[in-house]
Amino acid sequence: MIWPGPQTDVLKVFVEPTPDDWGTEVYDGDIVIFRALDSRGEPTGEIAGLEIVGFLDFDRWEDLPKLDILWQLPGQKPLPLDELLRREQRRLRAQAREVA
Amino acid sequence: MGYERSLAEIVGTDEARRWWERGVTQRELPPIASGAESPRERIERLIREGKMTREAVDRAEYLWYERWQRGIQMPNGEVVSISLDDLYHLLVDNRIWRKPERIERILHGVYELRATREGRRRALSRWDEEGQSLVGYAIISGDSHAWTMHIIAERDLRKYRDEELLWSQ
Repeated sequence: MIWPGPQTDVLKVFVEPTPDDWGTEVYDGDIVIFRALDSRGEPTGEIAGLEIVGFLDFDRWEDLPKLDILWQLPGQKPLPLDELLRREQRRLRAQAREVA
Repeated sequence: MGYERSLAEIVGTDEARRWWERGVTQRELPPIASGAESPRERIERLIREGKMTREAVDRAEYLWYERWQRGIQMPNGEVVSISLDDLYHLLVDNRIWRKPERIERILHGVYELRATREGRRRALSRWDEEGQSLVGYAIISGDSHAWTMHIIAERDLRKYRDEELLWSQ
């Protein structure tokens, strides 16, 4: 998971190990999905990750892609995407307040 | 990796039932994400793991020091700032780090600016590369920083048609 900070409020979440080749599929205005590419450079169904622009203020949880997989950070239990992101948003908002 | 464990084994029977009721299954048990990393940390890790080359990162840093540290001008005259931290964030995309020149190509190839949220803009771009026409976009913040960039499929451009057009070449 990558979040550069409040000055660049873009969250990227990656499957690990991340496929060597992945491409960007536009999901909506703020969300893109990263999908593994096949040998011809065409996207497969395999999820490599996703990105949300404007993550600290993101609240369209019902609009998240329904990926039907669980996500897990080291040392933590696996969670559906929305639960993990809501938790991380609380943490990063607190972090951003500290920086401010 | 947890692919062979059942959901109930991982989260407990009660919680597994709650997730099953919500339609979450163990069909593809979790991709084990790494912890929170800075872009630089991810790049260094991928280099250690042999998934990214030091040479590519050195090349991108060279381009930044030589050409980009004072910004890159878009066709509308606006100069987009790219800090070194921004550069590392952009390099996380495998189609950028393999060809870091694409950072410049994307910004030079901007043909439309569209409004997104919170004062941010989407700079839609098209450029030619080795005889192939590519499309992509950059998200530009209100203070003209490049937040993210991606190369996308031509068919995905239509998903941005409803965004307000701010500038067109």
